[in-house]
Amino acid sequence: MTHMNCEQFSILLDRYLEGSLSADERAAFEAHAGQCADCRLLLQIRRDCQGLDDDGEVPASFSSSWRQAIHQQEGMNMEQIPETKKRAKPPINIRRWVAIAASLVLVLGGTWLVGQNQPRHRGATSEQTAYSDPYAGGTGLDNYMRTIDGQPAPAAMKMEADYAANYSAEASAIAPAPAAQNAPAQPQKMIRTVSLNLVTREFEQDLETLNAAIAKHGGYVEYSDVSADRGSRRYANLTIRIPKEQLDAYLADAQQVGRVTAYTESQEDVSERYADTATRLASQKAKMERLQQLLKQAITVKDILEIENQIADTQYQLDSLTGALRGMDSKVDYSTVRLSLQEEVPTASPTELTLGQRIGLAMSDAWEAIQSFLEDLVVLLAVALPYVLALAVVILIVRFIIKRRKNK
Amino acid sequence: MPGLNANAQAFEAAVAPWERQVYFTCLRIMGNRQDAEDCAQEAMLKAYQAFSGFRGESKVSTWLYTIAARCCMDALRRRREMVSLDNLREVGWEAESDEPSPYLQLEQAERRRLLGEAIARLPAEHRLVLTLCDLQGMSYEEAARALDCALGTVKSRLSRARAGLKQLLTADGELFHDNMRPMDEGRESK
Repeated sequence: MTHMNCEQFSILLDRYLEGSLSADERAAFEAHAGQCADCRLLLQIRRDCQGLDDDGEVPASFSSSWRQAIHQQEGMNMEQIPETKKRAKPPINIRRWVAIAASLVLVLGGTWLVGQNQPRHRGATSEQTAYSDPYAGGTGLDNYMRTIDGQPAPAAMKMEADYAANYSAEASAIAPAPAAQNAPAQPQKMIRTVSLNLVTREFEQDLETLNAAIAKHGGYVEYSDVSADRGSRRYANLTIRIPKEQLDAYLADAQQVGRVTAYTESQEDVSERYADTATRLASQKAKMERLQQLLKQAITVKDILEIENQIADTQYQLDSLTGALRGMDSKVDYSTVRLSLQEEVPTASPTELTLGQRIGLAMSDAWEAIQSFLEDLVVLLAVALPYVLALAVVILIVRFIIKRRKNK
Repeated sequence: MPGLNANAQAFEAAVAPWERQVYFTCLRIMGNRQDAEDCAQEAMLKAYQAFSGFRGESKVSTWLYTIAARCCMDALRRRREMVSLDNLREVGWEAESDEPSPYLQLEQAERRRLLGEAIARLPAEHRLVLTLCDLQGMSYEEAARALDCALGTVKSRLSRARAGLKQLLTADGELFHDNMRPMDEGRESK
């Protein structure tokens, strides 16, 4: 290569800087650099880039504060170390476990999918049991409001035995088992939120029982409101915070009250966010200490002002990070329960279904099942259509080719 | 607990030689000392936390620069400096003039100062790739992995960044026109 243009020059530049050009290439490269001021500039920039910070000075504050920070972090990690060690040890035969887990997922997922395809409205009517007992009318709403507005509710009231017997079975059937029993090792920072809907006929008594249970388990009410459409049904909406260790016990108590109509539980893992915030907090703390030291050493007013400015900034960061950590801690330590208690108005007449009604219900059930089956079928067709079309095209082409060969 | 101490000491021994380069990586990307120090500090802590998982798949330096670059990206996002590059002016490769750039006639120290200023004027995305590839010597593939983007993106940003530098440092480039103003101080004293 004897002559080179600017484009070739720029292509070879990387390899020239690495020193991996052949002698010929290098000679041509350098010759071009000698002629073209532009490419010479390019080369000089790249060379200067490589050594740009060779003589630069690393600030002492950085040098000392990251070391300080990792040693502080060491202290913070003390409690977490056993767990990480545990995690590091077991992978003796990790593949086998992965395989087992994968097949479990496959089997469970498949089962779930099959379950999804079942008609969705089956058995919905069985929940609509009506109460035949006459409504034992309590005190009026006004009277009741005074109790709520005044002091915390008195200690738990004795519930009617038959009532408890009637509804506790149903309650435990709907509500899932408390999470702590089936989740063996919980990650460290979990925010648990539960919402629970209860239906009761003994509105006041049950509300008092619920309130007493809150006190018993060391929780507190964050928000509460009671409303009613006069003469008929009353509602209570409570947002309760319960210490996380007491949550399951409290839920067990609460589910003894009334009939559970809905139960949802969510868990949010904030461990990572927490660790991240803690890291930033540690680094800001280290920086703060360093700044304080610098402030002691500072002589000129300009330096002092500058450092104080930075201290103010750092303090702001420290405060907001600390606040964020506290907020998370509070949410983790105190689980949130959104409880709604609804009064049930008994229906006047017992509803023993007649034969005709049962036939009607069964028929409408069957009709719904057929409808949802047809809907599913349409969905399936829509999904499969592109594949079927593609397959058809392939088959047509193959047949066409075969025919042409035969004709030849 | 001696085992724990050993962990931090091992980390310190492994990363200490790269400390300055980590700092300067952050300085070049962030453009001012304050942010650079914060990011470098955060990068060191993150590196420490991830150290037990580091198996030596890459060089320690590459691993550290990657962490540093990601911390800087986060900080730039917080600073809202990561803007779309669509509305940035395109810089071509074509040479504008035949007269040699005054840059070539300068002493090394002066060249470095000007180059540093020129880098600080590039858009954030360009600064990131340029710092990783041309200043710290990472390969295109390593930079693509570090920045979590396509190889082609790294290449195109890098070539634009280089072209941008060249343009800033040519004879009629901006830096030689408003060179009288002490820019460095204006930037740092905030």
